[in-house]
Amino acid sequence: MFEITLYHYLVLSLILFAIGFIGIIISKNIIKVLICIEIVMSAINLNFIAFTAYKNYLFLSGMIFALFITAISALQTAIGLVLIYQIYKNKEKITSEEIEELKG
Amino acid sequence: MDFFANNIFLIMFLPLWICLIIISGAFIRLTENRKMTAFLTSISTLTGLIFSIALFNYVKSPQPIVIEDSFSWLNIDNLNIYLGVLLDSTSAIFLVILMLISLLIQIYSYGYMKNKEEFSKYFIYLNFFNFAMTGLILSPNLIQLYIFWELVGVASYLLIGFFHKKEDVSLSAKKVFIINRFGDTALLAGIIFFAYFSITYMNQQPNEFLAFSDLDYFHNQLQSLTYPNVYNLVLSLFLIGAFVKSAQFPFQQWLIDAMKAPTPVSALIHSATMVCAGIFLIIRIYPLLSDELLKIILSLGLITAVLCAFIAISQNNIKKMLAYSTSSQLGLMFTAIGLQSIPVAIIYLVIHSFTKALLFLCTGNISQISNSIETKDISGLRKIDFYLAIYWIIGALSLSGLFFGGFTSKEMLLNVAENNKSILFLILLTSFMSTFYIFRTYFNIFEGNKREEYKIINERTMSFALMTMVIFVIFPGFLFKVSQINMLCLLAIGIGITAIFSAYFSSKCNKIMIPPLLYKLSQNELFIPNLYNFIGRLFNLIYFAVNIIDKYVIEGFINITVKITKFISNIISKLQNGNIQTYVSYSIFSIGIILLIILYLYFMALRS
Amino acid sequence: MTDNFIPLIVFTPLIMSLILYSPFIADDEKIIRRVSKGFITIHFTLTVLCSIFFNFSNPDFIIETDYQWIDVLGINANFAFDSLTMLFVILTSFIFLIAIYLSKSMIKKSYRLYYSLIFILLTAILGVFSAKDIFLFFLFWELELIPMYLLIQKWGSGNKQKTAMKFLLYTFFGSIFILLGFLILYYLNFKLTGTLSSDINDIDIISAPEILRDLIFFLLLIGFGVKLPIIPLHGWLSDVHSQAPTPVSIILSSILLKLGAYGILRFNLQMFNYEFQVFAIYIMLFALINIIYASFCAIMQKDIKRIIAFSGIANMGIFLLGISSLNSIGITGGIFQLFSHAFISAGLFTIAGLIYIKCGTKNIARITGLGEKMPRLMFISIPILLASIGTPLLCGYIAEFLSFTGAFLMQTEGIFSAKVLSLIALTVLIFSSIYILKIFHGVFFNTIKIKNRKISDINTKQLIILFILTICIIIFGIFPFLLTDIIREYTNITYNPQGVF
Repeated sequence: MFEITLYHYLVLSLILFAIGFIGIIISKNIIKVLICIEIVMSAINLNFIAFTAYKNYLFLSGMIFALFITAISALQTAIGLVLIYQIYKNKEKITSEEIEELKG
Repeated sequence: MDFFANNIFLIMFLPLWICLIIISGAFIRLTENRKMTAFLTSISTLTGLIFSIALFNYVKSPQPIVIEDSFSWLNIDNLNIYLGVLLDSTSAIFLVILMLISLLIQIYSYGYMKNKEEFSKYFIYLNFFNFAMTGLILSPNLIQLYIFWELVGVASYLLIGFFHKKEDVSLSAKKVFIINRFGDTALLAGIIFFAYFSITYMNQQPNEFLAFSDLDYFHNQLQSLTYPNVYNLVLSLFLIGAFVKSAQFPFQQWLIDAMKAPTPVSALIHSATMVCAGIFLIIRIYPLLSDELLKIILSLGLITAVLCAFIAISQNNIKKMLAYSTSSQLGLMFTAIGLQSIPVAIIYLVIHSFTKALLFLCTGNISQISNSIETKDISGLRKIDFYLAIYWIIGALSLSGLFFGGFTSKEMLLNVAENNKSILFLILLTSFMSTFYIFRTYFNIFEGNKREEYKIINERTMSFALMTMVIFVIFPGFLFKVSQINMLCLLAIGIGITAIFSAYFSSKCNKIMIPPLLYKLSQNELFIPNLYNFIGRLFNLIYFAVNIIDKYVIEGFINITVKITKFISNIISKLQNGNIQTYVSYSIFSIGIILLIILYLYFMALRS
Repeated sequence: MTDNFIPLIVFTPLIMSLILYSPFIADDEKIIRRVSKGFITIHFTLTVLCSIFFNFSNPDFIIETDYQWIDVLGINANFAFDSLTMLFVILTSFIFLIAIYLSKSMIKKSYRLYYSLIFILLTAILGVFSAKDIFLFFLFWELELIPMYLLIQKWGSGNKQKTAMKFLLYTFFGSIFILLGFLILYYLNFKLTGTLSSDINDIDIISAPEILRDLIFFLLLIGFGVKLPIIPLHGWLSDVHSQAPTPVSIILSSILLKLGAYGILRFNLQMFNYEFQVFAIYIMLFALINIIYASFCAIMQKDIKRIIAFSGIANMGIFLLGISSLNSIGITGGIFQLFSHAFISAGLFTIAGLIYIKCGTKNIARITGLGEKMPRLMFISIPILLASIGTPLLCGYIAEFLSFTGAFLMQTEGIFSAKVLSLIALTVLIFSSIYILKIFHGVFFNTIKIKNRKISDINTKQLIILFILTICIIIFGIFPFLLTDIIREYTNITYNPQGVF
């Protein structure tokens, strides 16, 4: 078998990033947008860990940063869910096409 | 005598002082004491009269003396304007006439305006006019002359618009002021030209800036420096100013509109004093005039005399007729100047002032008796007020040059014009028409059936003023000796008597025996008012066009800028569609493009 | 002693405007009005006191005060009073005095804000006149826009929001040119002399290439021309004058137009003297367009304040005509015109404002016959209206006569002749009399048309204000040497006038 180099991981994280990004832009439902943000976060995580593992595994900052990103993404999701819930309570709809207060 | 000579300025400032007293009295609302107002005014004029008579004697004999005194007013490098007084025989004569007629008219006005409102305002304006006219007569240089020239115009405008509640009065006052303004602009242009000549070409002037005593010096210098056509053109600006002020053709329209003023004002300003300002100006700049200009003055004076007399024949409004008569007589005065005899012009002016003032005062009485100034509304006044008829006849005889003062002056004029047949013919034609229209008016108004509603006026001041004026019309005739009774004299008298008879027949038959076309021309005042209206409308069109440009081009420019800005901002604001995902995609795409550019530059740098 | 005058005169109004919001002054109309009137009277007395200490007979005499500001860039807060500035400072204080005393009848709401804004405006204007540093000049130039905008927007009449916005944006547009000019000037100075400095006296760009100097000249001319105004940059003027409240109209036409004139005097005439001499005849052509075009526009207007606004443009044209004649007679006449027009237009707008508050409308067609109800106003407005058309013994005549004579005396080669332009400009006497008489006859003559409103005559206080203005007009008409001597000396030293042979 061929060896799994750094580049495979980077391509994987790029694919995940692209999927997540397109999901953010395209999704009509806001909860889908949240999920896709998670996907993007995990892609970034993968990127960091891949670099640390293949280049300099004694350089712990990369790993620690990955832990930080995980924690913060969890927080972010929580807060996002609260905000979505408030929007739902006020408006009864959570599709991005119908929330256009900032228009104009 | 020194007291009078040193205090000439008192004549000028006393009316101004009285004017200020009346203003403060009217504003502080002390009791409006009409007698005191008129009394103070008359006292100031009387003082002026005493001064001017004393000074007239002083400068006349035994040899001509000139009193001159001035102080520097405005001084900027080469422009050094002085103000002061200049008293020589010309100004002394004008001053005496002004003070005398002014005094009599003030006394008359007290009676005339007694029952009308705004009495003190009238006297404020009269005093102001006195001040301005005195300043004009006593000016030692052209600039002070212009200052008081304009102030006299202002005083005349304020007095014309006195009855400001009537609509036609307001329109007339406006027209008068604007036509006078046109003449003033021409005069100012001429003065500025002269200032230019004086500053540029003449470094050492013997006296102050543009002084009248310098004019001989000017004349000699300028003749050699400029082209004669340019010189004549510049001086014709002065002539235009004088012609407008003295209501010559084609500028006589303002005098006709000025008849909306109260009648004593017409007597004072528009027959005896202000309209003489034009003649005064020409006399003052006489040393500068070349032969061509004198010819122009002569011809224009004659044209005015004949045309205005022609229009006056068919007028039915007494004041209009007298206004045209004034223009016509002033034209004869300009003719005298054009024939290079200034003393004749001055004597003619003196006698005409008194005569015309007398006729206007009679008109004042007539208008108070009959409440109208149209001849078709009045008849039979002789049976009501016999003395008024006598006064009118005396004035008419003097105006037509048949007897009293007018005879002397007319005879002098004819003697001066002796050698020139065509001028003589025109002067005689004018005197025929003058006699005709003034006596026709007499026969129309004073003869005929008496109307029941007329009552004689019993106002002492008015009668006193009238009687005194009559004395001054009669007397000068006997002061000057008649040189000889020659053919010309007899011819003139014969023409006059013929005119009186034709006037009598014309008023009997109630029509004038001239071809109907000429009659139509005369009655419509040669269509000159229509010409003025047309010019006014033409200018209205120009103003309208400029306004359209302002509204649509310049404001349109601003509006187009606004519209373009709004359009662009509308397009760009479509980018904000309220959808956050769109914003996210904008930012990521921009980052992507920047990254691509950086990569591209990095690889270009790597390669080279 | 003299060092303290400048901050006292220039900055105290700003402090006063803050004091008005302090708890010391209760929110009571009477107290606010009294405090403001008291302050402006003290301020005016201060300026008169300062002028007594000022030595007018020596045209080089200056009072200077310098403060450090952005020293790194050479931009310092330098103030200076020289003869011209001192005269303008006295004029400004006087006109503000008139405007504040007049505000009693015309401003009926939000007094605190109003008087604060007026005082900030006063500081800004005095700052423009006394600034010696170009960026300080620009700071104060922009500062006066904000109070003006708020004043028009809140207390104006008619379509005030749109007009206030138009004024703000239009004048900002002009200021862009001024800023550009100043920046290029500053940079050129740095390039040529090697020092960073933005003081007017230190800037020396004689050796700059001619095209750059011409560029700065035109940028500054356009920028100041928006304020002056020079046609075709006058679009903001008639709307603003018509819809601003009357005291603001008075300040606007008496002082703010003179800011543009002051800028032209200080920069285009003093700093760029050579370029001005090159382009003088074209500036004279624009002056002529100002005069004739504005007079024609004024004749057809129906709103009293608009007529007066256009007459202001025509008078500023006479100023430009006098200035561009390049000899001391004309320049003195032009500067004198600034002062005489300040008094005259203050009087005119006061009359228009009084008519507006008494009759409720500005349209001449609807107001007639006020002469029977308001004889006092009619009488006192006669000298003011006559002064506006150039009647002698009133100050308008001196200014016009000197400007026209100066323009006529200018030597020109080439196609345009100054003499022809000056003669055409003389017709302003006729046209101005047409529209002034239109105001006078339209308002005061004939019989009264407004039936359902009780119209009373003006009260004594308003009469005294008009009377004071009339006295000023008459005094400077009869004794013009009071001002012209000072201006003449200043002109001969500062502006390098061409001799008149």
